[in-house]
Amino acid sequence: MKTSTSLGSLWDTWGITAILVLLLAVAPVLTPDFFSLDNAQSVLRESAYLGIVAAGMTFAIASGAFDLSVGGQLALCSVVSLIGFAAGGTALAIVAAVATGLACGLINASLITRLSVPPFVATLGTLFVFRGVSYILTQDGPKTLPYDQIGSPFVKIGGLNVAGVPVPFVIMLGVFAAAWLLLRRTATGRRVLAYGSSPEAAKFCGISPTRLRFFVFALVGVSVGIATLTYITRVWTADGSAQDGFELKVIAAVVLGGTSLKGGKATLIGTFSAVLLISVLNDMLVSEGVPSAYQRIVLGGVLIIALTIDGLRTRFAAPGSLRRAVSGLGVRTPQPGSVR
Amino acid sequence: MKSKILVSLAVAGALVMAGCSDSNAPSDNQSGSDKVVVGFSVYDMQYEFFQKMEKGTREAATAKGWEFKLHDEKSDENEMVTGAQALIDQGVDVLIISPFKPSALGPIIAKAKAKGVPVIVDDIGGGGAPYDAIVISDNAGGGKLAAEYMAKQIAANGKTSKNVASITCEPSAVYAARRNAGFKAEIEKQGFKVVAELSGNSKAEEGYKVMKDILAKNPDVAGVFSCNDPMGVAAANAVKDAGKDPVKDIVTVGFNADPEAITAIKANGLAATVAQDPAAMGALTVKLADQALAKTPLTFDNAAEREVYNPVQLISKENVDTVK
Amino acid sequence: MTAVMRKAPLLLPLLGVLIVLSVTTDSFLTGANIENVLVAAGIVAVPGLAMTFCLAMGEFDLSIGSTVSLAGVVCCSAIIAGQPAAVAMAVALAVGAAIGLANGLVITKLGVTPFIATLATLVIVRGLSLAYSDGHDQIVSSAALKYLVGGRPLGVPMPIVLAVFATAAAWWTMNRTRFGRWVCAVGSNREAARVSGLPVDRIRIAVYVLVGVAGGFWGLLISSQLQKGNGQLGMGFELDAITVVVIGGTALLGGRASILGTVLGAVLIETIRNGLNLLNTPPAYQRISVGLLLIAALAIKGIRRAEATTMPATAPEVAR
Repeated sequence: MKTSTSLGSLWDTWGITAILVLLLAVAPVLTPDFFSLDNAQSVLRESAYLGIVAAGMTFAIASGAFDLSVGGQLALCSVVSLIGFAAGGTALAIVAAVATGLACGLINASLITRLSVPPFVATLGTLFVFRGVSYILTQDGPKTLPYDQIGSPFVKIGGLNVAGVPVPFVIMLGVFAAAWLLLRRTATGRRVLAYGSSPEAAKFCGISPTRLRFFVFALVGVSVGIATLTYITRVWTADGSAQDGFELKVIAAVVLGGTSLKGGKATLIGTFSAVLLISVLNDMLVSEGVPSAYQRIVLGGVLIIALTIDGLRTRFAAPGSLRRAVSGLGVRTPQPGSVR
Repeated sequence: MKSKILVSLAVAGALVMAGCSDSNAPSDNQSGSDKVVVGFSVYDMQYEFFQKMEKGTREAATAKGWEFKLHDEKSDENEMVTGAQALIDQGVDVLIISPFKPSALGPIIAKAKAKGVPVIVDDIGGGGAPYDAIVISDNAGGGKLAAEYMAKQIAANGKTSKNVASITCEPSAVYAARRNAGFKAEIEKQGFKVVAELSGNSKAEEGYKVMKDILAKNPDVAGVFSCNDPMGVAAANAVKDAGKDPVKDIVTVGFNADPEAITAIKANGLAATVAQDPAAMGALTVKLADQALAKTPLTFDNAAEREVYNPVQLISKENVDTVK
Repeated sequence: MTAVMRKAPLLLPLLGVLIVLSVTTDSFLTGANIENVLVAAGIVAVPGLAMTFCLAMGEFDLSIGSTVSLAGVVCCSAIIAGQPAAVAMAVALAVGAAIGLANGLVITKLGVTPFIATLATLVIVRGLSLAYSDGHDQIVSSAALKYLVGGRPLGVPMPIVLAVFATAAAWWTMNRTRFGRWVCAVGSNREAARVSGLPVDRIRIAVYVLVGVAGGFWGLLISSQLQKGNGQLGMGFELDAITVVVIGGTALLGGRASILGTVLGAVLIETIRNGLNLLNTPPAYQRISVGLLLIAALAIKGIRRAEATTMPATAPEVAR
């Protein structure tokens, strides 16, 4: 399915990447140590868990829904994974993480399809429930990797570098590669996009909403399970309070990357770049010693600027849009067929 | 064609093997200057308690002629690990850390040990990790002081009720929970009963709400202990809103000696609080850091856990003016 | 009976909870406790009512929690600086309105989707609040401010009085004025509304300003209770506000709104919270219960809706 390469659609996919490149060009000027090996590795290592979940979330948003429970899922997968490690070592920890993620995704999907709870509310509810279960499991204190396990392969997942590239980032690359193939080269991927564009039309084409939603939410759950492996092996601990507010960060990254909240459109390249953009920006702000109050202001501002550009871009994509945009800055006249 | 692929794979494999390195292993960053560089990673600078701690640490460090690098964990365990490890990468000679999540100290200390950087923990907790030393407020002892004071004051108020309440911090603050545990142990020894132990999630808004519920359920409650001052002062406000006096009717005690608590005590809006001295604790960590760098053996109050205690002090109307 | 049930689907669960709590604890049905619950419900109902308008448009405002904080900080610092309480409160409300205006403009003029725009505002305003207060509590001792929460006109606690007025005003606006119909029209189908000549952008901005002012007011109420303002108050409040509206039956898709539902939702949530505290429930279990409640409330709605129509509730759940 070839899309026309208008400026607008190029921006769709590569816009955020362009901004990322710009930022990287500026970074060493503002923070001299930015491209030191340690710092670069740190940024890449840190972006992994956000990135992997964002990849899964891209599918969800492309299908027209979002999953607010990923923060709770991360907490629960982390706690269960650590319990698994204590019981059966690295292998069990890995299996436990992914299995828990899958289970959470299936629970979400069931609520949404069988009980017809709207995704926003269902995942809001499961966010509380998953965190609550994590709290119950850690009532005697957070689950932690014992210090003497520092040599174990599980810890190495988080700490090791391959050819100078941190393993968590390698995993993230792998996940994005697989996700890209899934989205662009399989029928399932096309179905996700079709469903997100128009659920009614998709139904007429024989796409089963139930199966699609199961797929999408299970995918998000599995991505959280995999992300857990990159997270818990760096932090070594978890309880119910892990990563409060994670879900908003993930969704922000996906939307920042260019995937539309309306559904039907997705760009994994955009998500990937947006995740790196957020990590790089955060790293620069911390290195500069910017007080956290101002860090918040900067990050919020970036979000707005990036999406303003996106909104303006949409306006320029349709024919005659330049004229409309100019007149639109003044008096607004109703225009049938305008995108917003 | 096939052989080309094989060769490329082999070369790639060799590169990978050669390039495998461990981020927990030492990297070749040495700070070349002779000045001692101390890295201080703090829980969250938006709280008064840690602002004081940072000030005390910084002043003590600069008094020694050290360079001081600050990192704010912003109440995020991920940021804590990343930032503290970054400080180590930047070549600090010693790391002082007030951990948001003590159980996440493991990876930080692993990296520090690999580079021979001593780690001194300031308050909150040690998470069972092999730090060099931890300066800790005696949380349990503070709870005990609160209980002793409360029992005395309830008697002075002439109340016969033996019921008290305890408001806990958020469930994941396992070290702060020692305050309530210490309180409960001592108050029960004094013959009282903790009829309600509810969590205010460390937030003022919830402390207020929880206190109202406690009052509705146990109108005869004679005292309430809160795990921190935001909740303590909020609970005192709830007591006032119910028409009672937070000193003479229901003895409200907080923990931390935050400015709002001091102000409240002076205005008879709170009975007492337990003062930690974060600035002094900061200075103490610098002293310990100095000793660790000089490889002098450290003396501990609790050698098994390498704990160095900083005494806590009960602050009530009698001695509130002595607080800085 | 079924007509009542359809209009106020929360009545049955609410009655159920009331009965259970009356039986399991002896302190629930006391005058003091019921008053506590109603006051708490009243406090969250006011922003909930404003949020109802927002959800009726098919949008939501994630930044209201930060508005609570900034408004509280502004009000308390003004009082500390010597301003009369009335002036301080007015300024705080103006700040809330300004935040709402900013949200509205970013969303309509810059075309940023509401989720991201209000998320960004959430982050920025929180930063502003922390920066303005320099991380310190703004402690006050203001009887005038206290009256917002502690006053008892005619013996009725002020928050309940405020909530009653707010409910009446909201109900009237939503159901008896052009503006209310417009909001629902925009929520049903924004393009159709625009094509029919409605001033869609101005309607949206007005609603965000309303939510902003309500957020400011919420900040005043909280500061009144706690006699302070600081940069950490109000975290997570947006979820509370959205939850009471959603539980109350206002559809997330927009186009329909239930004012009464929001109020009952507020009462239900606060009753359950109160009940869990009275039963000495450990905090971990308390968190689960809110989540389960949310799911249950909408599962019931979903089951009934599925029986009524054959179309699944699948259209994109976000602002178009």
